[in-house]
Amino acid sequence: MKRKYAKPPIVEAACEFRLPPDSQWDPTIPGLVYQKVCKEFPRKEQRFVTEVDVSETKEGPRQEVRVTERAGFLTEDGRFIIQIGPRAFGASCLKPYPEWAAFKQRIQVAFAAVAEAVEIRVLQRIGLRYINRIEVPAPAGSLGDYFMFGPALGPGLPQNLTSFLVGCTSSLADGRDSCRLQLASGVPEKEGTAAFILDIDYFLAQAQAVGKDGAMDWVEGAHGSVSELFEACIKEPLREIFQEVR
Amino acid sequence: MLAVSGFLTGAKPFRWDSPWSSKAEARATSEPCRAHGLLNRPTVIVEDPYMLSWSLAAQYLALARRFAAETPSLMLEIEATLVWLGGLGGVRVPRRAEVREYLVRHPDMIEVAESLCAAASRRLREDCQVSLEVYHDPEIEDEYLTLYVRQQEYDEGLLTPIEELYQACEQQLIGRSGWLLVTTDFRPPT
Repeated sequence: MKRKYAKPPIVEAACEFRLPPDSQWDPTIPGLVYQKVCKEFPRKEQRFVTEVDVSETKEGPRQEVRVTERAGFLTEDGRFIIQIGPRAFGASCLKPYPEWAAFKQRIQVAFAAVAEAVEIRVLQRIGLRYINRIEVPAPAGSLGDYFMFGPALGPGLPQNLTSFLVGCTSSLADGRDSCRLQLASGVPEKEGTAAFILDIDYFLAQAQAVGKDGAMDWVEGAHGSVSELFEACIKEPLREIFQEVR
Repeated sequence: MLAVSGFLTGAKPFRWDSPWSSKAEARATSEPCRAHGLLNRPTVIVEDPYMLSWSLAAQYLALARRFAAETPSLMLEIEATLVWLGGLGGVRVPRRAEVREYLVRHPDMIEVAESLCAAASRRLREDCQVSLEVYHDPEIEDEYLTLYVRQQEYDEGLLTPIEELYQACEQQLIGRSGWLLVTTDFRPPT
């Protein structure tokens, strides 16, 4: 049975869909989508996203830095946002995180609105990402008391960490999906505490393996996997900090 | 025993009980860390943010937040900014929760805050301290970022760099949803 917490550490959840590079797209699509979602997402804003793309070419690795413009449609309280850029769209939610059903409903609204504005046959990529910000008392215990996932340094390496990052990408669902798990040191808000960012990024690894009709089922399945991975990353003292509801 | 010392706060060391430490050392470095349920040895980056202006973890966060292959995350971008500011010489962010909340409401101010703090760290005298805070106007419902420039002893010479910093960011503020003020409150550095 899925665990519930009174103080979940989720600071952001994001679901993003990308369409194939050869799919139909034009600059009027964000406007058409806004017409469909403006009652629930009345606030508009413009966001510029700087992206780094690293690709392999015959001449060797090539880095490309590009700035893309995304339209953002927010709920009145700013907690939920739909973002649309060229051949990419999605919904995200900031803390306090609602029940999954409430977030999924916003994802569905975004998907349905875009699907009405543009033909979607297959998805190039789907991603469901949860960013967890965790603060624990700094002097007490060890990282291993809280996490099942962390740095493991050999005896000859420096043991006194001031910041760290550990990560791995695993293949799931018979290679169709992947999940990138990352744990990094963060910036604590309170004195005498240590902060960590647990980033769970679950995504469709096989491009175009999911069609329009299967997209929301994929998202539901991804959420189940992310929940299981989250529980597998943490230990009981963190469940106490998050105040598990029994 | 692996110690993680207080990160950017200077708090007491934090420990990670490595599967390779103490008794586990004998099992040597080639063995995957099965004790922690990991199939592969994870990548570990260790860096001291006090030694470099930008720690490796911050660099990674800054890149990771913007890799085109990933689902974008605003909170990760803000976290990367705070880690990065913490590594800049002479820059403090005493009430991080407030700054974090402000940047959530005004994400287009992240770039301005980064740029201005970097300029302040570069241009101001070594004994100057800058503090990035959120100013709440007590009379009207308004708030904005403020970069307080502080030094032990005040003289008229401080006004020129403050003015230059403000002029440098003034253009960047056009069209943004928030605001950033550069000033001093004539308090000593903390």
